[in-house]
Amino acid sequence: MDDQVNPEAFFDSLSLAHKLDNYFDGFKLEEIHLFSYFSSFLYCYSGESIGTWPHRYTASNGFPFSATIYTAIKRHIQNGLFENKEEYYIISGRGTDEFNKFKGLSNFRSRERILNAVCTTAILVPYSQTVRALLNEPDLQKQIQLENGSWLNQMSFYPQFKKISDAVGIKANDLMIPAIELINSLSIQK
Amino acid sequence: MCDQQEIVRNISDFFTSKVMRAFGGKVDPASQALGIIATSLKDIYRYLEPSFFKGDIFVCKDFNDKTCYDEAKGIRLYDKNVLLNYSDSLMIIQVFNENSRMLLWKDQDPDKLLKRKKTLVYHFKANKECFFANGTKIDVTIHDRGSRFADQFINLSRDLHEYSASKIRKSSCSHFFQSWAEDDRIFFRGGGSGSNIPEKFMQLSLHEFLSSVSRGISISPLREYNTMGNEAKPKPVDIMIQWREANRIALIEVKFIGIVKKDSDGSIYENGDSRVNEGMRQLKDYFDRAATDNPRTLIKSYLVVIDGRRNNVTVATRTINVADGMHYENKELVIDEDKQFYKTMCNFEEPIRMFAEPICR
Repeated sequence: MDDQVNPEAFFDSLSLAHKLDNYFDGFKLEEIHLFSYFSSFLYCYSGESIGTWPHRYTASNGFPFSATIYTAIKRHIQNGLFENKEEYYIISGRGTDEFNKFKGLSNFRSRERILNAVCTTAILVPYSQTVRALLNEPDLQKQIQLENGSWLNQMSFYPQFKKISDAVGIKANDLMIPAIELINSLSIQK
Repeated sequence: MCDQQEIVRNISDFFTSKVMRAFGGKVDPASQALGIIATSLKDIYRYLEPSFFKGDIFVCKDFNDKTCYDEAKGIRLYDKNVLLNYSDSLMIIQVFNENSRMLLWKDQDPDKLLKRKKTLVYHFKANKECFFANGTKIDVTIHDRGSRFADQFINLSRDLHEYSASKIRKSSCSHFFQSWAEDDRIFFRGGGSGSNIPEKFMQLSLHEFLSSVSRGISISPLREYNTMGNEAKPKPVDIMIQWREANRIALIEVKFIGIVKKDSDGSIYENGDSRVNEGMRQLKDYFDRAATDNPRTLIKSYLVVIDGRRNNVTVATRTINVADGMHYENKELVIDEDKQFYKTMCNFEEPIRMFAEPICR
């Protein structure tokens, strides 16, 4: 008997897939994990503790990997919400309907705000640069080198980023601006 | 490693920071407006290719969603295919918090827009793009042609250059490697009339590469080569790409230049610039035919030239030195003036030459 998929993983993967497909004409499954990882930084920025973020990540094939997200993605494929188009996946009509149904629920509204910010960032900063910057995140890089399957420390780069963001001095409740600052910090700090 | 000050300076110089600063204390509505304009542009440019566009496009977002001009004089934009009707005129599109809502005006004064205080305005003209934020002009141009918000043709061009560097330069693609007559990569293989060798290996190689890296596209299956020489049946372009969710087609013709050694008798012959010019002429025919068949589709044509030219080579050559092997590395193609369509037509990209190195001894 199948267990129910973690609800946040169910929603996050569906929402990210919907946006990545909509903006960039398809997505790779590892990009869902990557943008979910990106979202965890904004979750901290919005004042939440990383301890309450529902996903943890290891490094796998150069990308962050979350087991909860993986299970949700598998379920979406199985249920026809994600469709395979050669090298990329797209979200199906049913997947879009499902996303529209869930995005209005109060417990997902704050998550949607974060997920929306990370994906819009990838339009304002060129997509390839966004992906490169995220893959350049120091803890991810460290774990890729170590290859020991340890959890990524989602907080190691955060204090440095927060300091930079404070120094730039643009105070926003909207999360798109810090998301862009994060990508630019990661792009430049290489 | 950059120090923190440099990182802060770089982020402050990024256009989004400039937009926020221009609006002073109104960061959140400005940020929201920026996000809505960006996602709307992604959508608008599925129907309209900015590098083909000869007019002015303004896209604006009022922070409070007040309409910028008389709504009665505008058009509610729901079928964006109509944008193709205005390829050389002035368009002002207002976008709203409600993402699907767009209003289009064609004959309003854009200066009025630029004077509005709580409105973020995007402007595209002649391959330059900028935002107007509270009277400040912020340039956001990053490409020579087109827009940062319309990446279909830009990404294809980038992918072709990546293909050149990663697969052709050192013959790293196993399909392309079969184009050569021997391991030192001095001569191309000639399979004889109707065999489509070596072209078929080049087409297969490029087809496979683009299928694996390009997003949101369908690539025509590789054609069966016309072995019967049926002149009545026109040869199709080597590779045709269609975007699934954008109104675009790319036509790619692959040619090679260099010396061919025939499989049958080991004799050699050379393909040079005339072959490239022939390719340009063919590509123009394909384009004209495709434009007739798809009058409402944005079509761009690409000539890919695999360059395997070598210097001082005879039929007896078995090895090559660096001077002769790399002689043509930086020698550009000579295209006849009457075939330089890329200079006069936005639907043509300049031929992309991909030099393939030999093994030099």
